[in-house]
Amino acid sequence: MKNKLSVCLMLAATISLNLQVYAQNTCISFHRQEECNQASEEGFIYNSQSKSGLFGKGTTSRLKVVFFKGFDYSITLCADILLGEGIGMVMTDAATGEVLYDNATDNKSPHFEFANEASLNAIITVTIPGEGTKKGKAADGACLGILIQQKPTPKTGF
Amino acid sequence: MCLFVAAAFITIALSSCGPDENGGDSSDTTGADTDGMTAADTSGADLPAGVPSPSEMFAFMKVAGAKNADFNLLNPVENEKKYESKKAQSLNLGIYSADLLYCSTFGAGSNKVVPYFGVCVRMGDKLKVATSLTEKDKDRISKNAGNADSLIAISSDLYLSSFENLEQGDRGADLSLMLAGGWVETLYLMSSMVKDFEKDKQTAEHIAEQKISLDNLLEFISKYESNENVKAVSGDLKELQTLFADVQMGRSGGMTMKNNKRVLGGGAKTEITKDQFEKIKTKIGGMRTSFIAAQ
Repeated sequence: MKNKLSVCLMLAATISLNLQVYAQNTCISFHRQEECNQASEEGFIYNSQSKSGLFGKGTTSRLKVVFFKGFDYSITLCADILLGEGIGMVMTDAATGEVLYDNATDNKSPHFEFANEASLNAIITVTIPGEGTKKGKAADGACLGILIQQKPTPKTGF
Repeated sequence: MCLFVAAAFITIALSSCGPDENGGDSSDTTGADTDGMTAADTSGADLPAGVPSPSEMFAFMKVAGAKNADFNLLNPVENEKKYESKKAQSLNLGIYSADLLYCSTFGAGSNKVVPYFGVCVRMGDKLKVATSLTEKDKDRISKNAGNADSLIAISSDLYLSSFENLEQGDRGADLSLMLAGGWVETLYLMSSMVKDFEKDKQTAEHIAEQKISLDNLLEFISKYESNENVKAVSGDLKELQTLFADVQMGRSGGMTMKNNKRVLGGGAKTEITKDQFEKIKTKIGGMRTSFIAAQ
């Protein structure tokens, strides 16, 4: 009986672990969908620091990204409809904590672009509005991706 | 009975994915991180630190006008057969990927690109990285031999394909070694473009700015230091980090609007001395030698 219970527990643990890994992995390429691309003009190419993950309502997550000088960047939040609207996005300088962009001052836009003139490490903080699910209830996690694209800043003047 | 226990576990597992009773910790995620490649659950964990790909680092150098590419410095394709251990294969998949991207970025031509493309595909097979690209993509390369942008795009696809397959397979240790191999090879090739420090100072300054990508690389691989191979590589990279610590990087001047366009920074100047550069170059050269000699 004890042996049977042990086998059952191991089986159940394996299944549940795989389910969690599956849930995470289904999100890994979420930002790769064509619909996520909101770049304002042609020429932006995919940046490998783009990431997706499983997010829940009422949570905050951060992504640290290296931006090189001499490039234009396009940043787009791409979220499953289940996460609702009004997702917060703030970009800060990782070294100083200075806020460089906050979509609260930009109508909660899920997309912004900038030309970069100084290489830096930045932190993109994403906040999902709403209240989380209470413990014991089914999780309401859904996929969210941060799509980063880049292109060399066009030279102007002579 | 068994079904009941399994169902109970699955229920608990699924419910543990949800935010906590207080709606998740929405205010303080400092220090939170994940063991996996994605946010491990929905409780507000951070995503893994971004590490620029060799392609992005070479593009950064090219935009700055870096010259003096030397294709004789690449890890010879003949070394491929030496790499039998998983450590050697992971490190050198990163190294060969960087070599391939260096060739395509700086216009080595298809006679160099094709062999390195083949090595990357075969190394990926050895590591069971089921890349979405195959040998038939060599034809794409031959057909696009004169089109630098296409060669870069095809080579980048191959690198990203390996990266994402390791990511999806939860193979963090292998991915860490691949990233480290690629990063070190990229810095090795970049630093070799500085022939005369005073003349090539701008190139040296761009290398100095990789201080920030090294920080992210170390943050990324620190999660996998329980693996002995990762720990050893991480130790070397930390020594390199102490050399980069002396480099002065100018701070960005914040976000401003210019001609209806957001512009970040401006006026930030990075300072590196010849002595600092030589120490960094020597350390990178030593690491690279040990990586390509791994078996």
